[in-house]
Amino acid sequence: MNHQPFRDWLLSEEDLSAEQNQSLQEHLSGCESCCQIKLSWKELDVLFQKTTQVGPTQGFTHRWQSHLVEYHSAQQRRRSWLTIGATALITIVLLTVLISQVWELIQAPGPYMLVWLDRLISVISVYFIVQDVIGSISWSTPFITFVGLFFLVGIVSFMSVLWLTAYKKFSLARRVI
Amino acid sequence: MNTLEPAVLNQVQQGNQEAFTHLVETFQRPVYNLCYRMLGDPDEAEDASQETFLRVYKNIRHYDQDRPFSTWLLSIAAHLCIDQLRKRRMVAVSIDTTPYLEPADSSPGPEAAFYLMEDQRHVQAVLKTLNPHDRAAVIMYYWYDFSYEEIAKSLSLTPSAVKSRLHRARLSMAQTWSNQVGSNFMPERNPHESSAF
Repeated sequence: MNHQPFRDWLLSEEDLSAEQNQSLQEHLSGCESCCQIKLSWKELDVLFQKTTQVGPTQGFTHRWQSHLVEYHSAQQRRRSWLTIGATALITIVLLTVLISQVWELIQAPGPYMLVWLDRLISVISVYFIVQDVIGSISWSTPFITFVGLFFLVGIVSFMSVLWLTAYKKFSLARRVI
Repeated sequence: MNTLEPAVLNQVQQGNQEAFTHLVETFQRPVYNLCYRMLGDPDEAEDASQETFLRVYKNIRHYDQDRPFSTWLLSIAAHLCIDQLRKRRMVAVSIDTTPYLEPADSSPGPEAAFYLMEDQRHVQAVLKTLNPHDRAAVIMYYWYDFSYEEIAKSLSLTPSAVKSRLHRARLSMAQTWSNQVGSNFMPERNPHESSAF
């Protein structure tokens, strides 16, 4: 027996037409299986209607607050490990560079010193070239001496360290609640 | 369904902790109920509810106020539970433990409380037979009065898919109910419980 349209109608929440209703009643009078589905669904529908929402045990909000504090602590720990990791990585890279340089110096001090002297002269030449170029563009540009530039770089480095320290201080764990 | 004042919602989006606590107080019951109906275990429902609020906390800035908040919130809870059910598909769930039931106004006696608990057990036993998406659709439809469109948005489905899923779920639940009522409806029995009762 084909139950298809009748089961759709039985379980549908839309109103049936008079024809559909009559056809359904005729089918139900001869189909025990569909009658059983109809009865079961009716009982379940009543059960759903009378079953209320369940709530959590007392203190859910308090537990949520503790959960949130734990989450913030975990976040803070993660940030700290990231900072430590990044610092360690930079330190290792710098140490590697330093060791390689020192190794070269130990192996052949003369040529090494000459290379560095050559580099220093190059840097000074570049500085004077840049100064000439800037000077030719405008005479009103403030003149920066080599010593002034040295102090400027020093101040910028100091400010960077200060900024990093301040950032670290303000990003420390704050009380959430 | 509980609602939240737009002003409170604005405060929550601006990161106000007190406003968020108010939000948790307001929605703890509907969220927990959804998780409990989905997972069938009070402890897992508690964990899932807490995780839902944590996800809301992390993503509250992305919430679009044109959308009803309850739909957005329950959508997060439903997806979380669906993922959880997929993870433990092969693990059997006990429904012997029953969550805290708030007493009704008429203060039911032990007998009424027993029947209330039995109803909850029967409902859970029937819901347990559905697949996660069908279960979520049924729960949203019958306990939250969500429309097909709201369910569709919450579960990332089309309204026609929701309609057909609900139809399939009703038929499946009716057949389960019919079979189980035929055998006196014994969804799960304690191992130490005598078969005489």
